[in-house]
Order: sequence, then structure tokens, then C-alpha cells
Amino acid sequence: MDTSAARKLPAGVPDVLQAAHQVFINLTTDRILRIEVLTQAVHKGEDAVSALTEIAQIAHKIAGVAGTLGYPQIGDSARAVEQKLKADIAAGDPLRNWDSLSTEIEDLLDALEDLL
Amino acid sequence: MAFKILLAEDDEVTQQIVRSMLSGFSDVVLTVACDGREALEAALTQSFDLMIFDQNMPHINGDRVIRHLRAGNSVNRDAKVIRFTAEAEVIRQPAPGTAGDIVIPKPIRGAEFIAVIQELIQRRLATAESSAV
Amino acid sequence: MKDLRILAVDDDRAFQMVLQGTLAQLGYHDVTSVPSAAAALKVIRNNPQLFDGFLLDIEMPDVDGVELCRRIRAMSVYRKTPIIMVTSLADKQYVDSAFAAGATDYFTKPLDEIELRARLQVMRQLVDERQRALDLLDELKSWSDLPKSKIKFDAPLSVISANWMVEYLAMQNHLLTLNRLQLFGHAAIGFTVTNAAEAFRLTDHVGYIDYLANIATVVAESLKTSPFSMAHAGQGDFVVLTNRTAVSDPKGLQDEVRAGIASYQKLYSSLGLPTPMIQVGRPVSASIFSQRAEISSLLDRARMSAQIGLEEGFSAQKQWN
Repeated sequence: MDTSAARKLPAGVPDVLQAAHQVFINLTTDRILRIEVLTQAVHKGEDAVSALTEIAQIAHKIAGVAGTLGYPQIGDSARAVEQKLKADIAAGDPLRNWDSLSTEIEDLLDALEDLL
Repeated sequence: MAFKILLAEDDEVTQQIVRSMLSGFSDVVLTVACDGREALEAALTQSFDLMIFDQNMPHINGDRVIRHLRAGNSVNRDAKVIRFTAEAEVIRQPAPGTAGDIVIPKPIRGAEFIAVIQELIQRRLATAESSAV
Repeated sequence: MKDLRILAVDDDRAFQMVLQGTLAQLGYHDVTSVPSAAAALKVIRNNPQLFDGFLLDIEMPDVDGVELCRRIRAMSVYRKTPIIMVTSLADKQYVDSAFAAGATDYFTKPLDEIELRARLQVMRQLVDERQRALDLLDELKSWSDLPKSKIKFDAPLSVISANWMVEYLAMQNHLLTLNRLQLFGHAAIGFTVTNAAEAFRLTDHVGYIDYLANIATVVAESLKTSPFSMAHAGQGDFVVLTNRTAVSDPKGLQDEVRAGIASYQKLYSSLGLPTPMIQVGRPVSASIFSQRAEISSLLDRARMSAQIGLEEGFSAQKQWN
């Protein structure tokens, strides 16, 4: 992996956002780890609602900035994960769509890892 | 006279995005609050030309902070407010009492945000000039 | 008086028939009966209208009542809806896990009409309280300037939608279901806002709810112990239920809460409201030999302990009936 290219701003993003981009990259490692820990907890049968709520909150933060920093697809994926988790938590069985959602979360983590 | 902005936002990346976007304006002073409590403390201590609030914040959420500021006699009772929101929430009707607030959905579009700030600075200048006459 | 919409879940059809008949006699006609958790979840998902309360049998094949309770509680619309567990005497050990899963109350088979009537009255009270709180929340969202509904000073409204805040009635009922050993491990601590009545007079109901919500948040942050639950008992009194060992230094806790409140000094002067004066009470717990009457007065004693305060002798007292 070409690490210098990974740190460069995506095309079309103004140079002035370089610093914000770096903060985002720095936070991404911790967020990937945290989401992995939380999905493990769900698989182990621990308190699903609190783990899923936290995953939704992290996804919410990612969705709030990814588009601005030149990663609209990551932003859209994160928003989709956030909204589906919140819908399941609010309106029905929180684990209702867990099988498909955990795959979506895996894909999101893969996309985030590509940035590092 | 400096244009004073308060940003109430707990996400570090958004803080930096706003900071960076404002760096192009001369004479803008930005104060950042990381949670509702800090935001309240700042808004009750000094006057701002503009306050930018994110909805979800630790301690006290954005809505309650705004209600407190408008219910009391603080210097920022009538200050201009920008609310950051997630895309999906923008479609809802504005709540009564918030009609004058500017809603900006996240992810923030740089050009749009900068244009709004520019407009607000220009309006403030125009008001200052007309009252000076 | 609106009929309570009840969902009853039990695989014992004979019991269901008796239950439905008894409920009808007590005036509750809007009762849906299903024989399993799966059927219950299906009905809940397919029904646009919400249920006001649930009666769940604990012992059922496949998914039992406790697991069903957990799943219902996980739905945000049912986070605070009364859920009453139904159990035969042999199942009492499961009652505690039901409470951990979020149940509000329980009653035992065979069906005692008087007990059922009492439980349903509690359910109705909870529903009415929540309806008033919901009306308020609607108003908060709509930022109405004109108070559409006045609230009473002694209404035990949940003032914040945090997961540690519970209805006062639910907290009382929960205590009554604990066995002696469990009860012995709990302590109730009262927090009273001695000048709450003044704030109530000076502000509107939205302002008063926000005022109490801020106080509840400061108290919650000072507690640092988990788990705990908090209820607003009305009149600006809060009661916290936590582990007996958690609060060894109530004076230190009081200092910390007061410091937290003091940090909002500017807010209160801008609102023209008195800075809340908080008194913490000595933690109250049941002895291992407590009688039922003593247990049911535990929360009241915690409130009174807060009004007496931690110093020797009496401090500022509130109107107490």
C-alpha cells in the first residue's frame, strides 16, 4: 500500500482541509478497533442495545464528515448503517437484521482500513 | 471589529473542518466548546455574533442549551444560530421559535458554509454602518 | 377513562381464558391474548397502535417471558411501558431476572382478583403519568410559548430521557419484588432541591423540566457508580437506588453535587432562577429482617432523610404531607 497516497487529500477537496483530513485519519484506527470490539460483544450475546447504540453513534460521526473530506461513499455507507441500526433498535428486535448488518459493518470497516 | 463565532460541537474532525473553513476570513474569532456545558458557559459569558450548534452533545444537548439561552436574559438571547443536522432531519418542519435559525446538514458542503458565513458577516457590517450614520 | 390496551402472553390457554374473563369483569375489554413470544412479537410489529401494558407468563417453551420482556424493552416505544410478569409460585427465582430484563411488576398464579386489580391500577397510573410526560415532550419539541398543560409541583414526572431515569412508581414496585438478600444489597439515597418550589413558581413548565433535568444530570455524573437508577418523586425530590457499598461518603457526594450545580451559576442568574440548593440524605437500606411495610416505605424514608440532611439537627424543611 502506498502510504503517501493514502494521506493525500482526495481529488476535489480543498487544501485547506488537509488538517481536518489528518484528524479524521488519526481517529479512524481507534474507531475501527472500537467497532470490532463492539461487534464481538454482540456475537458473544452481551448487551446488544448498548453495543449497537455505540456503533450507531460512531457511524453517525463518520457520516457527518466523510463527504466533506472526499469520501462520499464511506459517508453513505456509514449513514446507512447508522439509520438501520437505529431503526431496528427503535422499532423492533435490535438484532432483527444483524446478519446483513454485520456484513455491512464489515464492508464499512474494510473501506475505512483502505484509508490508512 | 472582529466577528465572533461560538462553535458547540463534540466531534474533533468537524471542529477542525470549521476551523479550517473559517481560516480564510480575516477578523473572525472562533471559540470552540466541546459539550453543552462548555457551550452554555461561553454563551453566558461573552457575546457572539453567531453560534453554531450540533444537536447531540454530552452533558446538555444543543436544543436545551438554546432553550436556556432564549429563556434567560443572556447577551446571546437574540444571536444568530446555525444548527448542524443530519441530512434526513432537514426535511422536517422547523420548530416554532427556531424560524430564524439556519439549518446546515452534515456532511458540510464547503462552498455553502463559507457563503453563509460571508453573508452573515456582510449583514453585520451593514447593520453597524447604518446605526453609525 | 380510556380503556388500557393490553397484550397478554401465555401458552396456557385455560389460564388465558380465566385472565381475559377476570380482566373483562374489572372493566378491561381491550385485551389481546397470544400463546407465545413469537406470536407476541408478530402482533407488536404488525400493529400500528401501541399497547399500554403487557402481561407476560414467565415459563413458556422456546422464548420465555423474561427474554420476551427484554426484547420488548429494547424497542424504544416500549422503553417505559408497564410490563407485568405472571408466574407460578415455583418460578419466583425467575422474577429477579425478569426485573433485570426490565419488568415493572409481577403477580402469581393462581389468579387472585384483588391482586390483579391492584396491579392494573398501578399500570393505569403509570400510563397516565407517561401520557402527561409524553404530552410535555411533544411540547418541548414544538417549543410552544404558551403552556398548553400545567404540571403539578408534586407530579413524579421523569424529567430526562436517560437510560438511568425510571418512573418513581416502577422503582417502588421493583423493591417490593426483591428477596431479603437482594434488598439487603441495595441502598436508596435521597436528593432534595430545597428551593424547588421557588423555581416552579418563577418559570414555566418547560423551564422547570429543563431545570430539573440539569440537576438530575449533575447528580448522575457525581454518582460514578454503576449500576444505579434514579427517579423523580415530585416536589424536586430525587431518589437514587444503587448498591449498598457504593455510597460510603454521602457528605463527599453532597459536596460534589453542590460543586457541579455551582458550575451552572451563570445559567441560573441568566434565567432569573435561584441556584438549586441540594441536600443529600443518609443512604437508607432495609435490614435483613425487614417487614414488607418497612420495604414499601424505603423510598419515602430516603426522601425524608434528604430533607433532614447530613448535619446534626434539622436543616431547611419542605412542606411534607
